Amino acid sequence: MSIEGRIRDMIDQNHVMLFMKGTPEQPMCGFSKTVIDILNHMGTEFGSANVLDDVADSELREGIKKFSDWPTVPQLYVDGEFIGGCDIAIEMSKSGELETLVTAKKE
Amino acid sequence: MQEKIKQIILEAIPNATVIVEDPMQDGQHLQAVVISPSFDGVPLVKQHRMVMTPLNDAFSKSLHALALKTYTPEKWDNQ
Repeated sequence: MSIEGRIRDMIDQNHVMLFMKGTPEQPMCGFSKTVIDILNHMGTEFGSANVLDDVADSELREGIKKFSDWPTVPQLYVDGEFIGGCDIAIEMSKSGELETLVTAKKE
Repeated sequence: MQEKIKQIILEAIPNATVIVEDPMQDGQHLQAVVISPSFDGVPLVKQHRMVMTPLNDAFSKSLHALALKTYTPEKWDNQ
């Protein structure tokens, strides 16, 4: 399957999906860690993919940047929609928008 | 660098108030605050794109370390 198809599958199959550097248990970048902290604090379940894991998917790192037309990682998706990176996740968690988005669309 | 970033943002969003800072004074980790009525009703991710797209076009290497905050005037006053 093409990289676009694989990304589409991931964001379709996970209500909340994070493309990040490292894993939720071991983030490899401060920005990724911040988003993980936000998601954990909200207590939401989420899927994640490690763009640094060349064994699992060597195309993901560049693929996700193109897919979202966004130059940096982490990238957060909720309900198949691109939310943004770390700065936006912080702002939206402060304002409560992120929690609304994550819980409202759960059903 | 800070001045150039500010100019590019102002070209893209002429009615904006733009503050670019270098909080760690290393010329690397810059921080921009952009306040504009053009952000009214626009999702945050789009607000960021409105600022970042012209910057990425202007700088060959993407400004990875630019921390960005965007506000509508109303949101800025209320924060």
